[in-house]
Amino acid sequence: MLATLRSARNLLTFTNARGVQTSAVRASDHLFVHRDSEQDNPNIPFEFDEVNKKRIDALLAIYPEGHKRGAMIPLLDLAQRQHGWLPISAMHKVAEILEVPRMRVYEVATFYTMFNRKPMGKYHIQVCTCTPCWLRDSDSVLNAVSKAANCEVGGTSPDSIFTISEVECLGACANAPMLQVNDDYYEDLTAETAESIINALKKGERPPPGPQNSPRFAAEPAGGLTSLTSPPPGPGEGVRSDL
Amino acid sequence: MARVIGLDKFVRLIQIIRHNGGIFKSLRALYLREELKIGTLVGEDKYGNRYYENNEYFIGRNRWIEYADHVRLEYDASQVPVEWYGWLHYKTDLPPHKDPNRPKYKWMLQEHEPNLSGTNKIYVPYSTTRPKIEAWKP
Amino acid sequence: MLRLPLVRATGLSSSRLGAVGLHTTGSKSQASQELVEVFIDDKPVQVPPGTTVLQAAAKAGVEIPRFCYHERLAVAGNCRMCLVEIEKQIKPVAACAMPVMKGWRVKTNSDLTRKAREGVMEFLLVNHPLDCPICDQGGECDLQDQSMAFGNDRSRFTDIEFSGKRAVEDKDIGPLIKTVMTRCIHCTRCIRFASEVAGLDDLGTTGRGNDMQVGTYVEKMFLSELSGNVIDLCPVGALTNKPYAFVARPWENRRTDSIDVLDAVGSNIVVSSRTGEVLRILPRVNEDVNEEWLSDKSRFACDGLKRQRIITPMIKIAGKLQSVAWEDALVTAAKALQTVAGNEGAVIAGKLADAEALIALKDLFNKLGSEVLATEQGFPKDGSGIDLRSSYLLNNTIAGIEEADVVLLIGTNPRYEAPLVNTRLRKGYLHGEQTIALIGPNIDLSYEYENLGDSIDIITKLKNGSHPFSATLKNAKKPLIILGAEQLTRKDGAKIVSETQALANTLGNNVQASEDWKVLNVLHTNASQVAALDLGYGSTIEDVKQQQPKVLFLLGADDANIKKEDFPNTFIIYLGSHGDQGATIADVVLAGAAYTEKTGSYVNTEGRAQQTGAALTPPGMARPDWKVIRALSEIAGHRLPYDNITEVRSRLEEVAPHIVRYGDVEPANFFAQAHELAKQTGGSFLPDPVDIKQKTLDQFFMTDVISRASPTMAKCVQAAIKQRQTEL
Repeated sequence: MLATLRSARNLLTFTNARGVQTSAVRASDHLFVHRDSEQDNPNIPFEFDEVNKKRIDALLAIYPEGHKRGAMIPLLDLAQRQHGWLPISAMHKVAEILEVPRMRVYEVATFYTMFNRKPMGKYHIQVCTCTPCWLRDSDSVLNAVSKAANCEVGGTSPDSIFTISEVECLGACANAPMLQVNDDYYEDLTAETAESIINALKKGERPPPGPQNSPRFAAEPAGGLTSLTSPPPGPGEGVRSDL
Repeated sequence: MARVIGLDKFVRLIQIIRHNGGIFKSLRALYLREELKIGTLVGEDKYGNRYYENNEYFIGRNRWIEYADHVRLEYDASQVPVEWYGWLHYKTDLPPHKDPNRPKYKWMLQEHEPNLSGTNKIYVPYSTTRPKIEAWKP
Repeated sequence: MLRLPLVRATGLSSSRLGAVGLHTTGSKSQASQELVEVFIDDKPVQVPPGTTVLQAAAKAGVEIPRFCYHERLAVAGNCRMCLVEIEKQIKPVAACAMPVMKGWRVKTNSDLTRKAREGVMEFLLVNHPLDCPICDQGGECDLQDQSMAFGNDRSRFTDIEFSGKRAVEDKDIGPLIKTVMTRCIHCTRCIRFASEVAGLDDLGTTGRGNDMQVGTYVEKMFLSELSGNVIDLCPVGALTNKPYAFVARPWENRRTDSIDVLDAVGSNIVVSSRTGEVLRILPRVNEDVNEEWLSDKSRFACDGLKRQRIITPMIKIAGKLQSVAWEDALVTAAKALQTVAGNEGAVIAGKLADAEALIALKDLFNKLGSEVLATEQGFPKDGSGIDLRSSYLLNNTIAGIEEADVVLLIGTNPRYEAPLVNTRLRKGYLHGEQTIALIGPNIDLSYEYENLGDSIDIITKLKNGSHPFSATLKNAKKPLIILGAEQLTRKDGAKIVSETQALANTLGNNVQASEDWKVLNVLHTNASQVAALDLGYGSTIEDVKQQQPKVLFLLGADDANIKKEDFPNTFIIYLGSHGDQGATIADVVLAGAAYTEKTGSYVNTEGRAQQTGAALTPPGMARPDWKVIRALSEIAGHRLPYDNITEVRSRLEEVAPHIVRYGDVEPANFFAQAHELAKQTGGSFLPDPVDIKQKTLDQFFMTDVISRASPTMAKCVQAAIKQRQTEL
């Protein structure tokens, strides 16, 4: 009797009785297949500019005959720097220059996370949220940046100025929290300094990289040196006098 | 006395033979139905099948049908029309012509159809699968 | 691309590569090297240095489980299933990639090894869906088998409650291969096959870590003449046979060993059949012919065996073919044959005819007094003609192609005419530094070659030494000339043969290759051709047209482009399995069997006799071809003296003994004599450029009655055309 009631309740309340599973939530925010879009399709021509062509010649000269494909990452990086991001036609161009099948270029371009295969803002802001930065309140930095740039994390702002991504350790833990704007590191941040950086960028300025609002020049201790404070002793220090 | 020497069986035989209309008709009935029975004619349907009842026989054997003469040996149970089926199978004790309350609906089959399996009017469902080998048609 | 620039740069010889894992047949130099002794499970085994642990174990009879390793592909070493313990090493090593060292004691069944395998298997299964009941690979799945044999017996997988399993979207890579990429375990066998064997760098891995996926990145189909092999290579159900999807389980199929007849290579196949249908065709290993690959046409055209079949004999009544009983058809045909007096009958044998039917038909028509026996693809009669086998065989054998250092292709596209010959050329090109040149139109051969032009008189220039390439040919240690059989049907075919023979003869005199190195090779496209020529089918279709026979017998001849108008007063009898061009013009159609329905002998292009196996009975009233001819002969009053297959074969043995020596190549000889005879050949080259019928992939799929009747092949043609248009 009660069993019947129970099964009736099971029917009424929607429970996942059979354990039917859904597929996993994507761990990464990138797609590893290409989808043609208006900004990114093979019919858009891509050509390296003259300056970069010279650079390519210099790069290819580094690699011995038969190993031209070694220049793939430098070339893709050049293409990304020229175009702001890496469209599929740029990959095709690189494949053409290196005389490798296109698939081999796709493999490299999708493997490295620093190759951006979708349109990026003018400034790519990478906020570190790894443990040391997080302990130094990187969350507030991230929020401030997101608000100031009017851009959600992982997206591009509507005016295509900023792209914000949340990244793992960028190797500046001594100056946590920090963020990276294109190639510049901004360190020792607070929510306010982070916001002012974004505002300066909006005006088209380039705020000086490095520790912000901090007495430090680089990664030295903030409160002055605690060791090695005296000048180093001269030669013969502590050596027996008769020697 | 007659019972002791089994004379009553003989008398009964004579009765049955007479009931069936003589020796030749009885032999014919035996040939067609492999049994001789004595019973009252309850009714006859429009196909010529005759229905008998004799409650001296135990239940299950006390109602029977003698198929129409023209079918001879080609009889089978599906020739029993629906209105007699009920009486023959003890669903009702009232034969159709004595039962005023039998319902008649439009959807009921007007004409009884016997099972035509084994004849050339046999029902063959059409195949819904493609043939495994598709032949070339010139 | 893949031509291993590293190898060139470092000067490693190809034999070293062979030892590391790439199969090359020319690794004889190893024999003289010193052997290394290693111990596999305490069993000593002597192997050449550079052998991997896995190969050494195989030599000792121990099989190490593997997913990514495949003996015909480069070593990847990424599945880690082959981890084994080696004594005095702290970590287990990947057996497939580790070359053995002297005195190593490998433990393939120790606790550490077993634990390593269990661990690897556990990781593989974390992201592998448990959909074996709806997976087509079930029953022939490496992952299934190995998880039974080497996996743990219980699961520690609780992640399903939290993040679930990885899911990857399926790819559309064409009408032949069905993909369920969630099942992929990233062994990369398909990628390596595509780039090494098929020569098509379309597959790769994109992404990294847990998000890595195998695919084409862009939306593109994986279309190649060999693409079906990735189905066999795939150790799981990620790549499965699309036409065979959800059709049958492997254990319920009947397997029949047979031979493929859709090209002249004679690939060894296994015909999987069930309930009177051929369900799929798989390759069978034969190192000398097809290794373990199979071309897509051979593999997927099997659904053509079920369509357009002639299942009853037919007679033309009032201008229309009507199905009749055997008796009527045979009597009508026999009546026509009885009118033949002397040389008034003719035969054209099609490309799928077996040797039994060919000999029966030849005997019948010879009894009638007719000598005009033609093949669809004629062979020139001048010079030695078909008298010397050396002039029409791929003399150097298919496996021997790999060893050549300079190859000259004349008017042939081996990629589509004989895909498994092309894999040998590609292998020679990749691992053996082969130089390849072609006389013919510009085609994609999947490797680099030098196009010498499409004028046929280049052969003469090469012979005279007045062509820039002739120096390369002359300096070659093992030169090889492959002449396309298609060119021999040209009007100047005889001249082409004689000039090629002359060129081969000059080269043969130059080189100091071993005695059994043969320079001259002819690559056929028709499976029946060599057997027909062996049996004396020497005429061409032109002869038949000139003769205007009273009775013309077409033995499955559908590709000869014969029209009714060519033979206004001829009674045409057609015997074959499919209704196609030949049957439409016939007055009597006799129902024959296809190659999966009869036991027939075929001789491939290198002269190797092989036999097909009857997987099914012929459909409807159809009968094996030679039986039909035998029945016809009796009614026509010229009874053939054989009643069963053994007797037919003893007759075959009388005419050409090698045809019944199955599996063997009967080497041809008398090259010099053939050359002497050819010298008398007059004539000159025509100015027409060398043309090849099969130039692009869409021309590859439909070349004979079976593949023309196949819906799958039709889809492939569509896909190939579509792919080409999007790429332009």
